[in-house]
Amino acid sequence: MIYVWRQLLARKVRTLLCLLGVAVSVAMIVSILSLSLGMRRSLNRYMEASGASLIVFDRSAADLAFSRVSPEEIARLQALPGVIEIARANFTAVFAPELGERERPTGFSVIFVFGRFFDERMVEKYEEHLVGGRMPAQPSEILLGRLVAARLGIEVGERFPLFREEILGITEYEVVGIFETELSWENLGVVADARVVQEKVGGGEQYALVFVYTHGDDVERVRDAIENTLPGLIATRAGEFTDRFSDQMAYIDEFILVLQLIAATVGILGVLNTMMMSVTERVREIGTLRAIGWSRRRVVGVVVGEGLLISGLGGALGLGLGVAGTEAVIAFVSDGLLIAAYVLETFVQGSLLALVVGLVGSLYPALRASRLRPAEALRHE
Amino acid sequence: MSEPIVELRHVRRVFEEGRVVALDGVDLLIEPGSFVAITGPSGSGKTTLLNLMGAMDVADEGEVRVDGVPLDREAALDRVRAERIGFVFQMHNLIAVLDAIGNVELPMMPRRLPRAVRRERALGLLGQVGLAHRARSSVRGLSGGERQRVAIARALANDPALLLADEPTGNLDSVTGDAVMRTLHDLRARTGSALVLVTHNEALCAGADRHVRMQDGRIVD
Repeated sequence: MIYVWRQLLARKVRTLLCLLGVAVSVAMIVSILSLSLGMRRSLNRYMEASGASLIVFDRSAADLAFSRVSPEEIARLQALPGVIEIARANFTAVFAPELGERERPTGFSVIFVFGRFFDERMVEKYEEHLVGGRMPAQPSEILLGRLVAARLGIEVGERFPLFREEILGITEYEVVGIFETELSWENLGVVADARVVQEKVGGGEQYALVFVYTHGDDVERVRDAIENTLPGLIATRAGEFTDRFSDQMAYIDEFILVLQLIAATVGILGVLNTMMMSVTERVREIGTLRAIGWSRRRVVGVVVGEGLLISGLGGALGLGLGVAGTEAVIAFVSDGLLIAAYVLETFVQGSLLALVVGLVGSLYPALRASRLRPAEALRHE
Repeated sequence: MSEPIVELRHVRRVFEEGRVVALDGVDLLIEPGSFVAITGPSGSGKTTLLNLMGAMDVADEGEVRVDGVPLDREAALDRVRAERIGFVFQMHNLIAVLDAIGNVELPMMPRRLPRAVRRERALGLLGQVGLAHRARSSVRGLSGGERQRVAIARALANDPALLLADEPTGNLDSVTGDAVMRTLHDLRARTGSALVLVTHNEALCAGADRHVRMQDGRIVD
């Protein structure tokens, strides 16, 4: 171990650069996994906050933005035994810098627009989170998330040209209230009348999500009934929303997997390059070790040990960098809109990545070093 | 008569696909505890012969045995090098990133001795070559003679039955070289190891039990 350690210290700059390479790879993975998990959890929390027993959406939609539940399906939903009440929801997003005279620079230039019917139960949760004003009652009235209000400098009572076009005869909306929930991205949203949002999105009357309210004991039965009666829809408990939506979100997992492979490849190439250089420079030294009785296996152990030590230290640094980097991105780049969740599994995955990088990256140089005949190695200039 | 520590029979070793014949039908027996000097001009096959005896290379033809063990399999080579042979090189070949005592400990590592035992033994060996006080010195801080004495201590780390020295004074001035040779002979006398010395310097062959002269890959005397 001392020999391994001193070999690395003898080439400080190279060791440090390789270590940083591994650290960046691991940090990238930790960051992506933590943000992905954080966003999934926050989406679940958003659904749970609705108070609905079940969330219903389009089984064939590749993304929530493409989920379409028709009025006919909603009518059949409402008629199912055990369904007490439903609430319809749709949404869109608008680009903030195009908001006319009130345009102000924002860190994150998208405003989410949550379409709701103001007389349906789903909108009640915003009443609990009002920090000013009152609940909207007409299509020309809206609620602003606290971040939108703060960033655009809009107060209750002011008028706001949300879409910068006339929809259902409305161009400017009266801000009747400002809300603040625990989810930062929701606070960068606007709650508007579902019919206005629907008109903006186009395609006739249809909704992305339907929130279904039942008695506690009826949830499973109602869920089965929905999926049996309406096979084109998925019904899921609010807290399990992202799990049930996983097929549709598989492309995110695939994207993460591709990034992991890229990170691993970059890390492996870094360790491979460093260890190959190290072994090439130490041919005589390895020959000497073999001459004084070190077996091939021991030489492999030393070289792999060096690779693992670099990647282990790089991995440990990467775990810390991953958390620090993620928090920095959340604070300074996303203005707090992204949400990260740090779990043991992520750190285990990051550590495993580092170990695989160290092992795979050093194995070939180690085997090459061990194959050297001592006499041949000692002749090396 | 005891079994020879080194036994070479009809050994042939070629390089460059047979174009260079380094050893051509060499037979040699070396008795335990003896001192054998090998001399000859450059390219005569001295170092190749030493490498075969040192289990660092394998003969193309013939048989090489050290302490009765045939050197024909990789595993046997590793074990013989680790347990029966000590090697002193012309260029000390110490590991620069380790201190003197760390270098002497290296051959003991495969034996899985406790660190304290390794340290104590290495310190004792450095004491035998007069360098106990330089145990913690970096290799870079040692003189040429000191480095070669550390290399001798390292060669003796596993109580080898056979000590092989390839031009051990080749890079030293005559005074330092004489001191290194005295150390080698003292330790050989103390440990009972056989010493095979390859050299260009005929003066170093004084007192040899056998003086082997080589030319063109053959033993000529």
